[in-house]
Amino acid sequence: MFDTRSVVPTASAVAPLPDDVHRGDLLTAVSPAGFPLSSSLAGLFPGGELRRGSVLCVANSTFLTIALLAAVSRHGGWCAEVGVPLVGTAAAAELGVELERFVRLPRAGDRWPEVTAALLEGFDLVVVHPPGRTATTGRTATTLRRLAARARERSAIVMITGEWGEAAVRLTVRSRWWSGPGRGEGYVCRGEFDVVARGRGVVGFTAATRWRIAEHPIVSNGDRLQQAILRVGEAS
Amino acid sequence: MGAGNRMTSSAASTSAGKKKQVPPSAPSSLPGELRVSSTFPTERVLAVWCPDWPVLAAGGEPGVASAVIEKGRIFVCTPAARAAGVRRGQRLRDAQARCPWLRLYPRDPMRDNRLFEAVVACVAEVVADPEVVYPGLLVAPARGAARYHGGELPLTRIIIERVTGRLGYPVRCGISDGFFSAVQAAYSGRIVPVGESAAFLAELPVSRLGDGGAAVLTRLGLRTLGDFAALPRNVVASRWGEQLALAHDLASGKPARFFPAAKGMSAVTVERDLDPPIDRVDGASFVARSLAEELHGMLRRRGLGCTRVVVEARAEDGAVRSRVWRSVDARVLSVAAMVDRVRWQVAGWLESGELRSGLVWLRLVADETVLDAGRQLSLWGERGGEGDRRSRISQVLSRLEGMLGPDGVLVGVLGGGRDPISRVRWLPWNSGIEGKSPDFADPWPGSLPSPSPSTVWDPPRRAVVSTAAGEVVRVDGRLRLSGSPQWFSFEGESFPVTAWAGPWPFDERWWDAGSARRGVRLQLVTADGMAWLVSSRNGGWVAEGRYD
Repeated sequence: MFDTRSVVPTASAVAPLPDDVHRGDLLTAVSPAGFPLSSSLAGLFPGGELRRGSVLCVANSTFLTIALLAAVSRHGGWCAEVGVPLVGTAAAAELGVELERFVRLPRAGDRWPEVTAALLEGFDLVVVHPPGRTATTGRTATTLRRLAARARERSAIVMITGEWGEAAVRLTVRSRWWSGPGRGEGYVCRGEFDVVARGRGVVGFTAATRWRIAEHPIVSNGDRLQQAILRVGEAS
Repeated sequence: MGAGNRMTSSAASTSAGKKKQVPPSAPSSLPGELRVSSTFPTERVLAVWCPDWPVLAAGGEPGVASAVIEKGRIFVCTPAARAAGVRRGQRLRDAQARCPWLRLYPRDPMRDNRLFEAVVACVAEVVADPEVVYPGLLVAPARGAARYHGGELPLTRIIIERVTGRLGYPVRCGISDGFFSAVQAAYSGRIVPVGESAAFLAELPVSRLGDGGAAVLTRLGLRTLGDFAALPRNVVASRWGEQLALAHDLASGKPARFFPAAKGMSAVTVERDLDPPIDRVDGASFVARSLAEELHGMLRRRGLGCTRVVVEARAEDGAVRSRVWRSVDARVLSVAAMVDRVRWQVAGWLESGELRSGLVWLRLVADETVLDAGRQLSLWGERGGEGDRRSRISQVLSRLEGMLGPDGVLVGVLGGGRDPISRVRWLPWNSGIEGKSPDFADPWPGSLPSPSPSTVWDPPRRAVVSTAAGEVVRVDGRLRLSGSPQWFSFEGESFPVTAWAGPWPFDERWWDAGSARRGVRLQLVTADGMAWLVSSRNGGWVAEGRYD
């Protein structure tokens, strides 16, 4: 009844083709200094890429976390996640995270600093969910500073879900809208996120963008690549 | 072993065993929330062992004191020689001093294997797919053959009668759960009942682990496998690393973490057409060596090791032969071991007359691979390569596994399912899974359309969906809603619902009263723009996920 992929969506549910999440990455080469991002997210980061050795924080959006995971994962990077709640596995796979290179450590609990430090020895991106709603001050802040130093040394990226004033880039979703459902019909298929980035640095910077998630046809990776190539072909 | 259908999971016992190993200090924030799938195969394995095989192959007889020598030392000797004081590894001169009438033969693995072919063929008439461990020892799945022949004891009797009666070699059979245990059972000619392999192994000396750590354990004063198995696995893994942790798994009777070639995981294959055809053993050895090295290189570049290799050959007259070789002690086949096995096999076929004409085609398939992390680091090169990367990551993760317990380091795999929770299976890291997760594009009628919720609560959290009048929305027997959802309350907050989709009914696992679930799912969009996935449960509602 609700395998809607075979059903023509209602007018409100017609989604445009997925944004350039796939296309952008095919055209950009990976630089040793960082991982390239799709064009809609690139504007949020200095240099337009996820720079190695930095600490980011994402305040209130798991989809944003997943999109950044996918940016690393799709370029062959290894990702890990420490603490709970774990990001949705199905959503991660749909946005392009390679599950066999994505390791989850939900039981880290209070030992998250040690666990994260160990993971930085090998992984490209470590997502940390600090337990509870720990205020990132005092001891936690000291811990985070140590982790930041280690991330710099290992050329890895730490992504904290929460707020930390000293992160290189802090992302917050200011507002979001999901569309698709009506009064019973349709389905959640299209989301728009207003994302604000605040950076640290000599001058500091602020950037904002409208980021969209649309329904992806669920395809295996090979197909996805091919589709993306087709789409690039159509665009040019 | 190869086929998934021979794999049975013992969910209850394995997970119970794992729970115990979580150190008490580990935060139990997720008790029972993530269900680690127990997909370790346990199966009945038959092992057939010809004692002192190299001596028998050389023409010695068990009743006559004879021995095979290698590099001036005793390699294997017969019971009669043992009775006279001859021991393995003894210097030839000492052995001859104790037993002047000792008959000596030089070691020749090619000959050992050539003659063992007859034993393999004889056993293959009784059980399907025998796999050779080394000349003198083979393993095979026992379940089907035992059922056919009316039990495990009759099965072993038939094999002993055939091998001894037809070929005249003494032979011992053992049946137990898993390869390692079955081989140990064969050494003492026993049938270990289902589920008792741990108790059986506990009595054996640690030397049965071979060079995989026996020396270390003896120095520590651990004499039996039971002593070793009594140590917590975390401690073993963090102190001595993955290799001894695997030995610990073997000693405690756990099936090794083999994963049969899963769907979507391609076997690594090398093949070669041989022109002109090869009919001489030395030429065949040369080709076998280069192919085995090529296969090993391919595996190493992917960070894999192989525990089972299939050798296939075709002769000029169209005859095709294949033979499976495996490692039973969870250690991957090293390049030298692989080269030896392929050479022995090819030479065996040619010399024994199995293949009457020259070889025109040879293929090696590594169809059971495991992540070979940190076990086979090459001395040169490969730094920064994917294999090196995997081994570094594996070292980090084994350390963390030691710290957090075996369920502490997980990988999510997507399977079939209708909702975001049941689609995910959690496997411990290093469960040997490699390659792509099962193809989740397979049609699964009634599954949620993508995008999937980014936050998924497992187990789901309580929520309330109510109508404009403030009454909880009810679901009737025909899975219809009592009213249109207007309010959504979750964790102390209430949100007006601006749009909703559904209801999508589900009726799952109705065949199992314990886990049967029937109800509807709704997607809600609240006034703040957030979307939610909720489902009805026991007359109320739970939130399964959030699109945040």
